[in-house]
Amino acid sequence: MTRCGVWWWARARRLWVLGMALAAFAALVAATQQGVAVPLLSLLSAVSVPVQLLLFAPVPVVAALGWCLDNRLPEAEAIAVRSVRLTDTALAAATGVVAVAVAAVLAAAADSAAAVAAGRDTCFLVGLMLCLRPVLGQGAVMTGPAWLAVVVFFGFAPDSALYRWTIVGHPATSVPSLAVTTLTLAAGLAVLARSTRRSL
Amino acid sequence: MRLWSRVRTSSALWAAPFVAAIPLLYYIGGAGKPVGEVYEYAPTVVSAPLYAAYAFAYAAVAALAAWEGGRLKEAGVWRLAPARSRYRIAVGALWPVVVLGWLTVILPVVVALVDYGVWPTGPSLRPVWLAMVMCLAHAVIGFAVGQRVPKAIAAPVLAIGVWVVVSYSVTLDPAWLRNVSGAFFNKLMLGEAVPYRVLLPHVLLTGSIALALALGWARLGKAVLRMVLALAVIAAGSGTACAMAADWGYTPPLLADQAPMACSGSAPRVCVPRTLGGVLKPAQREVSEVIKAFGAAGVGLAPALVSDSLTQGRQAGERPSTARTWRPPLTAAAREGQLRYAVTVAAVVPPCLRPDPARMLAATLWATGLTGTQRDLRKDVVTNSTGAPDEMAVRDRAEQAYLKARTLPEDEQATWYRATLRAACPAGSP
Repeated sequence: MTRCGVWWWARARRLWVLGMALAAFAALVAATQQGVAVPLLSLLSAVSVPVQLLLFAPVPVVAALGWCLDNRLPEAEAIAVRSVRLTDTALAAATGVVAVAVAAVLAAAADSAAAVAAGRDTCFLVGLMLCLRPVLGQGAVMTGPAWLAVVVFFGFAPDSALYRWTIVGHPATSVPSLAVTTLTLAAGLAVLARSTRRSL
Repeated sequence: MRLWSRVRTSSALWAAPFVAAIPLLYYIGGAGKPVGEVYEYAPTVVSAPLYAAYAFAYAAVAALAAWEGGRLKEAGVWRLAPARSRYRIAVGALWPVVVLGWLTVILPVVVALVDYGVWPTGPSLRPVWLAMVMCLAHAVIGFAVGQRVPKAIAAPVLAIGVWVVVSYSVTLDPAWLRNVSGAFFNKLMLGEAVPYRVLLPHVLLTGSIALALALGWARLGKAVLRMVLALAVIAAGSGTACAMAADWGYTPPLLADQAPMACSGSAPRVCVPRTLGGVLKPAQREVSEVIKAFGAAGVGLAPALVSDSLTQGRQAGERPSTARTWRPPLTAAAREGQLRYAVTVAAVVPPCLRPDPARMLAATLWATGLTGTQRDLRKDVVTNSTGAPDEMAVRDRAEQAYLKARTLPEDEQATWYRATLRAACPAGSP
């Protein structure tokens, strides 16, 4: 795509909203990476479990990315002249990269590795959202809150430790979480790359 | 729009199975169940499932209302306002969402009432009214947010935001902030009920924000005027709410002694919770035995009422017995087989709130000696002992005073007892 084309695409997608969401993500991570927990009721253990607020930091980014990808100019994009597939997929990948980078910088500044996990969680939820977008349409933006709600309700063992299947919320060094996140994000990007031209 | 068309097109319909199921699952899973014994007391049964439902119901209502608000905005319906009142448009779009919120808070309450076989009473339903009013307020707030922020962003952020903020209020310091959160986070105990004035701060804070946003829909002159009006409403509402709740700690001032009682006799009238009426007869017998024993020793007691302290809920023990009203823990004592002991302890009434512990213990030793329950008292003292040195000193002084009193002639012992109780309260003590 030409430089002019990218500019046109960025304005059509209203990318500044995604930028604001990433700023909100950075602020949330900075404010909560020292370990602020909210007591939420778990369904399995029937008591309040302390849930790290950091777990919820990816929500605005995932929602904003979904919304930005839905901002399209169907007539212009239906013509094959400008390939928005590539730019859209690059946008989704870049969002994940920026989230991880922001989290890593904040983690280094605060000398705590917890924040890096928030970047990884963002990638996972972005991948999940992208996978479900062809099915759910606009409703796919609720993927983030829905997955987090499922984690709160069913993801805590009786000793308040997270089960492995939750993927989110584990330390940044967790290999299974990292592997599944990579797979999910890759799958999400593949789905996005193939479905971009189908209007939602 | 027709009723069914409205429901069919609302986001509340597809969300309903998930949203309404969660508080029910909380109840089945145990988080929404009353703690301890229920005693067929409706406020206990109602307040427990609500505890688990508030935050989730408000979050769902706010998110769905934001979605509906965004849809109306995108479809241009909101701009039809000259032809239709904006309030009518909002009501038409919001009622399925609000009804879903109401179902979410009411269903687990109904299940709990059926489960425990309890019929709801007026005071027991007050937290339900709170939850329903708050659903309304959150719907208005979500709707207004959904019109200013794209619905795809507003809905997920509100869903998590409201859920977390309302739940987080219980950990906040200062503690009274939980009393304006919109959720009545207290599981009521036997005899407790919540007065409306305790629920008012919840409604004032969130309700004033909702009202201010809703005022913005009216065509009131200039935008500046609307803004000033909205800010004034929010300041007044939240200011009043915080001023009301600022003196409350974790637990707001609850009503006590609200449980239906079964009473019998007169002078003294003995009362126990109606659902535990079996205690009444033995309690009455022991009360008259204790009064007779004191009378025989020369201490005339004339309580007008002997009432079980169980119905004071978490304030039990904070309002001690007076000469006219004794408050022994009748039900608990009956279970331990210590009815007479409990009544005897309640009968030892000093003329102040914080008597000297050594003199009180000496007087109680003498009193339990009269009713043959001294063994229970000594066991109690040992059980409650922390082993602190000054506590041991208090015990030694009490035992010595009691031993000295035992050597007195019988008719002087009653005088000693009265003098000891008086001396336990030096002039000016509360």
